[in-house]
Amino acid sequence: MNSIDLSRYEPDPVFVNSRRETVVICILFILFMGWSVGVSYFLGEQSRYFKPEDPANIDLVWGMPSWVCYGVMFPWIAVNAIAIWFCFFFMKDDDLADGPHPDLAMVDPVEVEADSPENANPQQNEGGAN
Amino acid sequence: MQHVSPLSAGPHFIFAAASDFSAIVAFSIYILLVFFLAILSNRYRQSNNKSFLAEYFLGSRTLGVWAFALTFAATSASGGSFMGFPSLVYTHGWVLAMWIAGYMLVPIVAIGLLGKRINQFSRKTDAITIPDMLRGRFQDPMIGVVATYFIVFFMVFNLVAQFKAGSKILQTLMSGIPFFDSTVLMISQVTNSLGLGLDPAYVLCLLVFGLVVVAYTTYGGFRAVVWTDVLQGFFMVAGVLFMLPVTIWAVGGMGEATRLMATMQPPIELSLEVTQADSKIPKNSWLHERVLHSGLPEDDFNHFPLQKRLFRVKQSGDFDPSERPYTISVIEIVDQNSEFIDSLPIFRKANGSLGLVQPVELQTEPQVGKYVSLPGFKKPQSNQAYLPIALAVSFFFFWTFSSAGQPSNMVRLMAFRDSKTLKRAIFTVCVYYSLIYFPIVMIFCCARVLMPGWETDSDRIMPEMAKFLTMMIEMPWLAGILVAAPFAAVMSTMDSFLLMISSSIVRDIYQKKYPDASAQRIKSVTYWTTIIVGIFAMLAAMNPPRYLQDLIIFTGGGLSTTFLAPMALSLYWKRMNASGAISGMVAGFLYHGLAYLVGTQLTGQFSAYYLAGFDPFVPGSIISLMTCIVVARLTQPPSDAIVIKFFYRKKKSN
Repeated sequence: MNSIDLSRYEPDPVFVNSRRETVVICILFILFMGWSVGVSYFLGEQSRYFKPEDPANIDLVWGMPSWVCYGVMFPWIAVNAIAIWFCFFFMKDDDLADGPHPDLAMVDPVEVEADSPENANPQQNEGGAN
Repeated sequence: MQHVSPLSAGPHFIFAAASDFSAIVAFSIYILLVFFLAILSNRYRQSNNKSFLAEYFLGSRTLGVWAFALTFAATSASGGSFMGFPSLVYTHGWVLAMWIAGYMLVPIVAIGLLGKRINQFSRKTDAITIPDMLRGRFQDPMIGVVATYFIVFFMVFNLVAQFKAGSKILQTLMSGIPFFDSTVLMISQVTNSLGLGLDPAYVLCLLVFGLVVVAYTTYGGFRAVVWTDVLQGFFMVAGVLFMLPVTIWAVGGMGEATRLMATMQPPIELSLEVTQADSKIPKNSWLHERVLHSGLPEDDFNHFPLQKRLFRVKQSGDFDPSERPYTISVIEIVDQNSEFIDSLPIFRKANGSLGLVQPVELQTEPQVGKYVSLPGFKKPQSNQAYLPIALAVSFFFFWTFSSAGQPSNMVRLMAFRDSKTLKRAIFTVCVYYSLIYFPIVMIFCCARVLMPGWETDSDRIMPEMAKFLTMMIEMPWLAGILVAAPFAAVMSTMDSFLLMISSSIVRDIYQKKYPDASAQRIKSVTYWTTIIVGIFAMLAAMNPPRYLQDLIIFTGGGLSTTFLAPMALSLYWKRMNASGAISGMVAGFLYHGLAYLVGTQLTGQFSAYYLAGFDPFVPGSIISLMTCIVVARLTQPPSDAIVIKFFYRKKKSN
């Protein structure tokens, strides 16, 4: 990066915000996979859950096996609740429309690159990390 | 000595007759609606002075919340969600709640992980296809070519499979309708005279279904596909939300169903040798074994309580009157109760009995309780439990991250309007999937109790259940609307795939070869490409490869393994370059192919090799990721201009 004066630039907020959101998504994935698979197999494994001598006597919650309720339904509801936080309070609004050609003409994108960053319109490049 | 009495093919024939007319009316209204949307979309395109290609293939990137959310959800939910998935729930019980649990995170991962950046990159590069975007991102025509070939390769197979799935659903819907049967007869005369050896009913359904999809997709383009996806999305959720309470009411409460399931065992597959059959025993016929005692009249059913063993015909076999015994494949319902058997109408043959029957294989170990506990029951062929914990983890990964890696989903991420739309859409799809997938598990667990014995033809459980429920509440016309749900699911996936293939051909192959082609010329090439690809897929589906469901899984997994890691690194890693991306794609593709090659060699049938119990997608994506990183590190870094264009912006003060 020696040929271009980097001091004139700052990290693209869309990139910075998306990366931050990606980290949270990966953490959510690990947490919920752990909860769902862990709880389901801990409670629902056959030798623990089912008594062959009395098959109909199983632990039910709202008509479903208890492991389904605690290991699948509850985390599913929790994901929806977290989605409210994630989508409406955590995820940033970003200006994504900073392409060089707002209307997509049939232009070869390789040629579009001729629009070097230095020549780009600053108005178009403003990302709005609010 | 053992005798088997034939019971009728079960209650479904009665229901089929009652809901025939409604099905055809509902289907026709549905098709009319779809065409109406295609016409609207075409008018919209004519009246707006926007670039033809951007509008035709991407809706000019103006999708709002509902359009974006539902097109994403409907495209992801293919025929599998409404045919294959209910069939699996029916066959394996509550275990499928664990199997599908990963879907709780699909919207957040599949849309949130790459959404903003793909949308932004596609705007920066003016891309309307994925190869287009990669080409612009790396300033390298080679990566566009490689990506195009991978997409077209996998998508064509998948499209053929989807065509077959749709035609099969239509066939289920229409069978038994007089108008349909007479048309099939006409077609059979044509196919017989041509010596094609095709199933005429299937060919008719394929022609109707295929032409409808090709016509509205070609005429309406992306916007029509999105609008019909929205319509189809509503059909799907409405179908499920109607079925759920009616099913729970019909079964007498969810708890009652689960307790009954706990006492049930999976049916046992075996062969029967029938010594006195004078005609072919139809598929899905019920057979009941009775034990003869010496000195009692052989055909007097009244002397014998209906007990002992109950069978249902899975494959009716080749009947030859000169050859005895006649062998059929059946399942044995192990835990039938006499009340259930009494409810089966008896199909009385003239001679009353089928004669001596020998079960070829006998019952193995009992598997009570496996419908309600993990890891599910053992398949007789493999002796492995259905969902061991490694496979459950594997599915969690597969559903979430493979959805993120599907190019058909990525294209949708290029099309939404702004980040507000994205945020609302993630939440909308979260709620939407919750309303679809978990209720489907509940409905088809109940179906196992309400309609035992459909393991013979479990892909039909969704339409059969729709007929059963609507008859129960005496509203048979509703069945037509309910069966539109799986139909809508297949259509919404097919139209997107069709458009993806034609966009790749027009944008990434034709336009690269003829950069100076006029707008008018591009327009006609686009229309003709869509039509020709559609017709080609339809012809290929006339005689489709055998393992279709496996093929859908193969292509879906293959696309994700090939594209996920290179795409994610392209969006988030400044050091990524074209060599890294191409190598990552090739590595993912090769691992996926190799896993299937080894799996097929080991098992003798088309299947993947599960390294340490993991689906090929998991190790394949890791290998692809590592390859991307290593090759990118070893080769020339990207130019400053590229890095700045995609990772920086000018300071405001400047």
